[in-house]
Amino acid sequence: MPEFFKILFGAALTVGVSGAMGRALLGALRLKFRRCEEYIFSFVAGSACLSLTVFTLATLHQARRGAFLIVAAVALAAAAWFGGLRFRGEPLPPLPRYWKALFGVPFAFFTYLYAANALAPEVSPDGAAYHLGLVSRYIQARGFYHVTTNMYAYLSQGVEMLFLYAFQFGRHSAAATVHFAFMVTLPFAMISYGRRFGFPVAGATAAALVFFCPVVGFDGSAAYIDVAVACVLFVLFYLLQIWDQERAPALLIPIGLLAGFAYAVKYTAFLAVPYALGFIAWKLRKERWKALRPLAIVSACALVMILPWMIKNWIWVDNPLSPFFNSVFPNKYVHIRFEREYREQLANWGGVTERWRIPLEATVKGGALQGLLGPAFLLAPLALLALRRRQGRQALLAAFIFGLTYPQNIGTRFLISCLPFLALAIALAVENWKAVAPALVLFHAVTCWPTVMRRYCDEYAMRLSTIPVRAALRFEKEQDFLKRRLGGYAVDRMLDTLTPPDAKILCYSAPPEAYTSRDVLVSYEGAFNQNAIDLLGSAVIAEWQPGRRFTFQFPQRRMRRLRVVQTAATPVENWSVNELRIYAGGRELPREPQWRLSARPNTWEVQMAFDNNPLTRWRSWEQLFPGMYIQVDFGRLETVDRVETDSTTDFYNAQFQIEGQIQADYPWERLSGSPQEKRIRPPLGIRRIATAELKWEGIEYLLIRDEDGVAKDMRADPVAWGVTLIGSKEGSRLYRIE
Amino acid sequence: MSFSPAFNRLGEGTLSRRFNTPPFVKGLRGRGTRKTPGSYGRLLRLPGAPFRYTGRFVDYRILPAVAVCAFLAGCSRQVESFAPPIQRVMPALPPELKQDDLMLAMDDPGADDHIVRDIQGNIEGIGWRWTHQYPELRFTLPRTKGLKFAIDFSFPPPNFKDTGPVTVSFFINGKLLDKTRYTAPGDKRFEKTVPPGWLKTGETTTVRAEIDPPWVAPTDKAKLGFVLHRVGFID
Repeated sequence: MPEFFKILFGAALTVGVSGAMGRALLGALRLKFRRCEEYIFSFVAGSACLSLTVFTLATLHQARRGAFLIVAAVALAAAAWFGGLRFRGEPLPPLPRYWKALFGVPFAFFTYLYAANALAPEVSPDGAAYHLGLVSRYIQARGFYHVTTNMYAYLSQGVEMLFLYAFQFGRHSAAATVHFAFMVTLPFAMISYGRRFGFPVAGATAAALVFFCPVVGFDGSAAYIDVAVACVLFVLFYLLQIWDQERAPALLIPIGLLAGFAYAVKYTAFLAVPYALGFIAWKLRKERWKALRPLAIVSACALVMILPWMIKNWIWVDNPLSPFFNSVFPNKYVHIRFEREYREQLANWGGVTERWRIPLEATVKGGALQGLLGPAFLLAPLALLALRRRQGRQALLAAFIFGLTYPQNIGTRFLISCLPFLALAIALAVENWKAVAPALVLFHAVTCWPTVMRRYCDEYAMRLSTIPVRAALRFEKEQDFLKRRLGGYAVDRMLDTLTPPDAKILCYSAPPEAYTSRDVLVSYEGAFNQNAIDLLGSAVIAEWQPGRRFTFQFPQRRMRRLRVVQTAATPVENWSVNELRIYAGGRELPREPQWRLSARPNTWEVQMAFDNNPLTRWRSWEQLFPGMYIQVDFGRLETVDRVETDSTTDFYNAQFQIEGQIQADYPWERLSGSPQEKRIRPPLGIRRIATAELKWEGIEYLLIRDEDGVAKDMRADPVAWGVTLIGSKEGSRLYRIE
Repeated sequence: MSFSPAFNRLGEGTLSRRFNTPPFVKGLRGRGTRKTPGSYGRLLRLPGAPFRYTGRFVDYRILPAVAVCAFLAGCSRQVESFAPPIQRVMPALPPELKQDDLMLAMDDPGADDHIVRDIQGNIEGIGWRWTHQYPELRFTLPRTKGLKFAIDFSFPPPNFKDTGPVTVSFFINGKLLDKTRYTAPGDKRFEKTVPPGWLKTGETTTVRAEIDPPWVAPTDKAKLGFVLHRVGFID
């Protein structure tokens, strides 16, 4: 039970400090809102401020309890100083009593369902993997540390900063409960918006449509971030509508902060910034140059929230927008080819390549797209009827803009950011049809309740299916619940028990990283990890082994620089070189320390072609294009007459030539055309070579699941691999490299 | 002195203003505004444009642009280069792995000793040989436990176009190991664990493939199977 109070304290403190910071900000700006709005805007605007504060503390390695408590004290003092701790705004026009019951009763049921799941130990896939996985590591390090092997660490983490604050006091469930707070705030913001602008019934209908939504419930009661994004975007939209009505210049500051915070929470919400700027510019279009000042204020405030994340990435991973746009900002941490494949995978999530399947998958089935909105959203086309009304047009415009990024990731979760606006438009369209709105709310509430939903949705649709009250109150032990509900939890325990604290563990797919303190390198999460997994795979996949040698013979020349140039273009294949050796008169030139090696593209991994390990390979990690090269600068004139490259057999259409340069500013000369190609035997003991190289790179443990490519082979002959099996749980085997 | 009627209409003052204005400046004049010569010089530093060094000459509004240009000038796409890394030494192999590799490449010096029948004598291209319909080879195995039969071969697309899908049966010591149907041309790899009871150390082990249908050469009607690169046993 004390655990439960710690969780409540962590979550309540985070929400309270957010509210206090927001109160101080809005008070300092002398902004007046209606009473209900004061709570909502204070919490959401304050969460942006707290997120930035925690970012600063994490940067200074002061993400510790004492510092967080000082922040809480200062925030409360500032709120008392600037705004007073009591909210005194005028109340909004009330919601009709009939609607209070119609919304309130199912709201209570769903809140019970969601709260129990939020307070129960965190078992969501992404929450337990990287949202809280990274947070728990920041707690260990007392702030940010240079992560080079996990691309999720490069995403903006605005809400994770709030999780970090809550986690410090109440661990995983406190973080999830903070997200739950955003989920509860969102429907009230929608109702409040409807009440202010004269359509309370539509506001309540829209709030019900969003809040009862299964995917919103699942997401919002876990340590995800999508519902927080939706909440931030809706409050931004709300504030813009108030600004349009009142034109209070001070409103531009929270507007800018929230637009920037949207980016800080999730990359795909970057559209909040052009949306806010475009909205203001359009409204001030007749004032011409005078519009520049408000736009500058909004931009500056947005940048305050955005730039820290960009700068962090730029300094640490050479790409302010990492893990995306790697072709614009080439770097050694994320391969360009991986980004392309990753984007393609997200755009065709669950194998849903036919777009016509999305409406049914996203509303009723939910299996392929990981979640469902509920059958009521099949009425989404009705939203177009809202075009008749100004507020309807505003809602549809926002839904359209925030939905623009959806084709990039077609998971149902990615519709949550535009869902409040879509729901509002539907509600505005049906508001005046007397019985339709209540019927819609009741239908949606009934069809979205877990016991009803399981009758029609896919078996594996991501949804809440139980109300784990005992686990939430910690009457059931956290470990017991996790063992029962979280696949991979036993593996986490195995890792923590059988490996030393500084162990690096390589695996194909991640166990829930939030519950282990070990450094788990997941196959696809970084360029280093990909190379390590490539090495492991090459021990058993014949096509990935050095199976052929290209020999370039040419008349003896003295050259300062030499390079192998690839001249063909093909959209599928990559070029790779395991070893590149240079000869003169039948003797290999020793690789001197003054040599300078480079390559285009992916110059950072060029050393892999010169390390005397036949298995490691430099790969282009980009499709073949003319002008790719590997280059050696000898640092002085060297006599050369032959170049040999050992390569894998997984590319067919590459064309090569050798070019040489006498001095730095001299033109490149073509020394040799197409090479002689010869099959060669891969080296003996290839498995042991692979694991020895991994150990050289600091990886001492392998976590292999039974379905992984090398599993069977490694299990059959651990001696050939040079590994020892030290543990096994849930179909995952832990090997130590000897 | 006589003037044309049009010239007369200009009036004397107009004439003098027009002729005193530098020709390159005309287009820069704003409608109804008068510019000092110094301000033109600030906008366009053309030869002969008069300007003065005054406090207003330095336009601070352009400083952000200059700063951005200077900042971006520091950016480059120069390819980074590196020294050769520490040279790896291959790990010592356990005794059971120190035996000869049991894979035979078709360009290995001793390959002919392993061929029993239906494999051409001449090495082609990058070290492959054509087989006929029933290629057979022999091996003497130093061990039998955990061995897999492995073969790298390929169906050239032009021949495959004639034959269509090809079924290949693999035999070890006369026993059918597997039968596989290939529906596309290109490089192929077949691997399968051999039951240990089929193999014996120190004795000749034969491996045979049956290719159905073979490709029939239009000129000499020779029946060709596939292009063989490597064949043998792996751990």
